[in-house]
Amino acid sequence: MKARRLETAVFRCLAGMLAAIALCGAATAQDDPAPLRAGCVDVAPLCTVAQNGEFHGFMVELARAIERHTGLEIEFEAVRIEDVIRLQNEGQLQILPGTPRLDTLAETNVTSEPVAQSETRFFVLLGNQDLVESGEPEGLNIAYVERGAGANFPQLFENNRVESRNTLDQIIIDLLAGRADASINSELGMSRLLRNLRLDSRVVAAGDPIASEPRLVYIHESRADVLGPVNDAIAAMQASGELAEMRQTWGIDAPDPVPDVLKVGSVGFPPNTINNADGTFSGFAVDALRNLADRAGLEIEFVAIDRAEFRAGPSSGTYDMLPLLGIGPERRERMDFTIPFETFPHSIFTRVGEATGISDLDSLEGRKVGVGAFNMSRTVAQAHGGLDVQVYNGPAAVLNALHTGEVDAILFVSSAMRKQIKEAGLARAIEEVSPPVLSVDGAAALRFGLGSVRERLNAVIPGFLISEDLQDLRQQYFGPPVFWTQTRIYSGVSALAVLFLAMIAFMIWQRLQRYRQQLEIDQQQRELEREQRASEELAKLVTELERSNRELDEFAYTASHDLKEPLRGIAINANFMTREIEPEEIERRVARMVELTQRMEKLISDLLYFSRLGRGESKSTDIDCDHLIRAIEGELRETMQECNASIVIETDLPVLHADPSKLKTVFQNLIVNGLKYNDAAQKAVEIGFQNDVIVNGSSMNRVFYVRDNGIGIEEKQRDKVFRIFKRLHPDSAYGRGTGAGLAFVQKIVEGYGGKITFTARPGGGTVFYFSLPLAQRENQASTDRRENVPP
Amino acid sequence: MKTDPTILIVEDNDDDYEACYHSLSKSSSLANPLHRCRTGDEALSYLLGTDAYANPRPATPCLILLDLNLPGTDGRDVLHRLKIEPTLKLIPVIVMTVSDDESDLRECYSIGASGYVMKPIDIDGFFQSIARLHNHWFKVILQPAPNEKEDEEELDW
Repeated sequence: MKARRLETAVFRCLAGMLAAIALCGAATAQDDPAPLRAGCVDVAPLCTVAQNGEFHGFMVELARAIERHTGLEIEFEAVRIEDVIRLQNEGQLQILPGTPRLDTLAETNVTSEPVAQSETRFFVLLGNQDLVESGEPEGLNIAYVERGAGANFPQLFENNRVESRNTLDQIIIDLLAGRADASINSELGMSRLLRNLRLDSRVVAAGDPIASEPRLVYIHESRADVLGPVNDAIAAMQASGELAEMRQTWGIDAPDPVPDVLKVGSVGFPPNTINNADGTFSGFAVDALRNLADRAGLEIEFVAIDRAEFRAGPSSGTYDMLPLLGIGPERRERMDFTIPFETFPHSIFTRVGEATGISDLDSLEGRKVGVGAFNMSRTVAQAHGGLDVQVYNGPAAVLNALHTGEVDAILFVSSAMRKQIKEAGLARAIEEVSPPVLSVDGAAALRFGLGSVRERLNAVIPGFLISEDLQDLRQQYFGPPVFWTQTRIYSGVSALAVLFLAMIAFMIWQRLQRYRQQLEIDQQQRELEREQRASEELAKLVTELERSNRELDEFAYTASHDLKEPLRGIAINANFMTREIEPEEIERRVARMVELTQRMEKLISDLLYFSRLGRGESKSTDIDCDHLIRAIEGELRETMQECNASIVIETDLPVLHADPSKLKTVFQNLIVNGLKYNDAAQKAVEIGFQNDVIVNGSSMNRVFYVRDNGIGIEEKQRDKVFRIFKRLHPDSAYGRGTGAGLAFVQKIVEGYGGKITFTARPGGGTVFYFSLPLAQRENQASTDRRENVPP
Repeated sequence: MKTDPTILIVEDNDDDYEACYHSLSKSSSLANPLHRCRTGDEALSYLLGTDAYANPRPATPCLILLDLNLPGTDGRDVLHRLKIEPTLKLIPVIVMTVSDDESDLRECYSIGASGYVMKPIDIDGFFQSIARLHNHWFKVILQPAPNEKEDEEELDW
């Protein structure tokens, strides 16, 4: 595409040079050339007369091109179609550009090289192209217009049913209805009609042209001198592609096929098309077409075009579409339009304070009115008559003309001019007369041959028209500056939502923070409590340790003193022995020494046992107390018989859970003490178990008692009773002993977490109360027993 | 001179008593009679003139040799009781200790002992201790006769 463009540019350049040469030649050949007169028969797209009297069409444009290339002047005048041949033959008209070969002119006119081909083609319903692809169809119903091009192909009559119709319309209807398989028509007329009927997407030309007639420029023989330059110009235009483009524009040639990506030209006509500096495109029309293309599933790309290209209109050589263009009858001959989706109001603008009395075009009569060159206003203003219409290129020039006083008023597309005024900073100098005086429908413009594209766009335009998208675009590009635009509302709501969320988040965060602080405080408090507990425990431990140390000291003191006693005795006896001479005395001392040695051994073993009681290495089992006591009784039987003693178990005894040997030590020592320190004739030890008892003013639960009828214990000796090796009586009184028994008992009981105490009075016996670990099942059993046992 | 007053020995251990007795009686100049009590209670009965000693009441001893480690009422109890009895509190009490370590000595003096002798393993050492004791109390220190000075509570000896 690019290469072709370059090529085109080079050719144009060459053509320009050739034209210049031709112009020089013409100038020298004829100093004062009279304008060539041309007739306009008002047949689109060849030549039509607009409202404002201007001539349009392929013939006109071709003539203008020839003018540019040759320097000739060509003036058109409207003539009736039945008069044109006569006037040309008579020489009143001297040039007839771009007509098919006309034999009736041959005698008085010369003809140029061909400028185009007039083709005759098959037309079929879309999808039926293969019926005529070969060029020699068979068995078809073929229609043609009477006296039209189709009548000239007799060979088709042999193999097909060929029938004539009165009009093109009838042929199209029959094709659509299936009453004709194909038709034979002149390309130009049929294509144009189909396009105007918007049926060009349904009925299409197919196969190669059946016939091709050249289009020529007829020049009256009186001006045969210009034939050479005209032919040169034609050659140059052919070479540069200018002619081909012209043919494309006016639909003379069959159009190029639909490209994959449609090129949309943007000339930069704010606010409809805005060509941004960074190469992007925006504007109402641009965005609207983007939206439409998106809805229709079309791929488009925008390209910047200049004003010349814009005026030339879309063609396959430059661009395929314009996003939005006012629909005018003349424009329809050069391009295709979608259904309108926008209206262009055109307003009158005046300098501030000069609008009085101006309300419509009538009120502008006799005044100078500025318009844009390629603007619907111009056509309307010129067509209105009575106005002094001044034409300027582009809105800036139009506005400038008003501002500088060149014109009294301007007529222009309202929105575009408002924008121009604002940008020029002339809002206080220029005022708009409302309401607008003219409203032009606007639609997307397409080059010929894009019928399918047009139809796809047309299919989505109604939906687009009622969409919010369109409202938004209008608001965005034409609306008054509204602060609360949709976007801003969305942004505002979003911002509020974000704020709200942020507040919630903040609150949550605060809560969390507070929670964390609380946790920390709790933690610290717990730590403090832990430390306090630890220090309390430490203090307790220290106290315990101190007590333990003190006890150890006392124990060591007592033990060492007591252990020394027999040792000293041995020493004393040994010492005395050395001085003795009597054999009996010596013998007595040796015996005493042996005795002391035994006592010492007993003390040491007791001490060892006592120290071992402190260690928790014993194994606990369930022990039947009755059984245990009976066993002890059995061991003591001889002694008991000697001293007339008895052991009575007064209550049911619970099963204990403890080390059997320790339990035996406890009961044995208490029983033996009860019998040993006893002067009664009937020595008795009574054993029992009580749930509740008050001993020395304090309550005890679940305790054993061992009661004797012995000598009792003096109150002043109370705190000596449990001291190890402490005896209350000399050996001579109640026999020997180490004085360790009750120390053992206390240590065992306390070792099990129990307590031991006693009540006694001298001569009145002693009762020891103590607790021991009960077996698991006894905890329940003892509750039951409580009711059965007398206190 | 009057009759030599009694020296009271409170000692339950026969071996210790024998050793003590020998060392005192071997001292030629010591003519004082000795009386032995085996328990603290007996000693108090003897001193207070109760129970078995009520009639006749024995004379107040001039010196008490007291063992601390006695069955039942021990030396400490005896000494404590003596010191609250006006008629007895002036009797010097020599405590017979097992060791001469500081805690033992402090205890002796804190409960009002006049001195101490250590029960030695080496009997000769014990003899010497008793001899020193004898010299101190009966020769060096001129001591008022306890009987005459019964009521002189202020006497500082």
